[in-house]
Amino acid sequence: MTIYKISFVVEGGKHPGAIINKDHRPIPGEKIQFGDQFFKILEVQELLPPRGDFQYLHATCALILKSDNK
Amino acid sequence: MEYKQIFHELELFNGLNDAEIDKIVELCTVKTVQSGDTLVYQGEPGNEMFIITHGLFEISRRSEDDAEEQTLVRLGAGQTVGEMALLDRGVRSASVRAVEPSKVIVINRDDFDVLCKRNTGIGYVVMRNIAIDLSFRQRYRYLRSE
Repeated sequence: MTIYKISFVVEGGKHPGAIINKDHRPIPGEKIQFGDQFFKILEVQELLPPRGDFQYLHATCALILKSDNK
Repeated sequence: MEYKQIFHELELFNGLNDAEIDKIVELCTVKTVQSGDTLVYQGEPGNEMFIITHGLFEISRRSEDDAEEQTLVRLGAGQTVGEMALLDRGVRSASVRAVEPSKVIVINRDDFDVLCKRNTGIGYVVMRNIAIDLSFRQRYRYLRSE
């Protein structure tokens, strides 16, 4: 099973971004959530060459909305 | 340990065989962290490394002349925190706080040192994987600063 280690950078520079392992490769247009916020993937690129079952990717994304958990 | 299968999916142990992973599993415990709770405080001595299995943590740091704490990054499943304590025995370089209900695997530094001295192959693989992880994060920082 391939595991994708992904660094997420949010455009604009205000959000700290995240580093998370996923079981699928993200694609542009995909919506993801970390914490209570949702993001749209803009671009995905390889950050490091793959090793074993791991692929190392970098994804640029944009904040799309803040979920309301109330 | 119920989380044994998770170890096979962790980058930290990438390259270890089943028997070697079993030796590491014997050292580990699991800790639940509630949302909002702090796992690690900047400046405190630390002798444990943590591997996030569930949830999300915020890594933040306060500089000496900065009254406000700055969030550096958020780390989710599969990531390690506190690994620098295993490497250089220095104080914690940042604070780590759960932003949602989370779970971590805990590895004690002294136990890990003993294991690595007995099994240098395990030590080499894990230290190499820590170095690669730090390299990944450094590249992430470069990209974030662009």
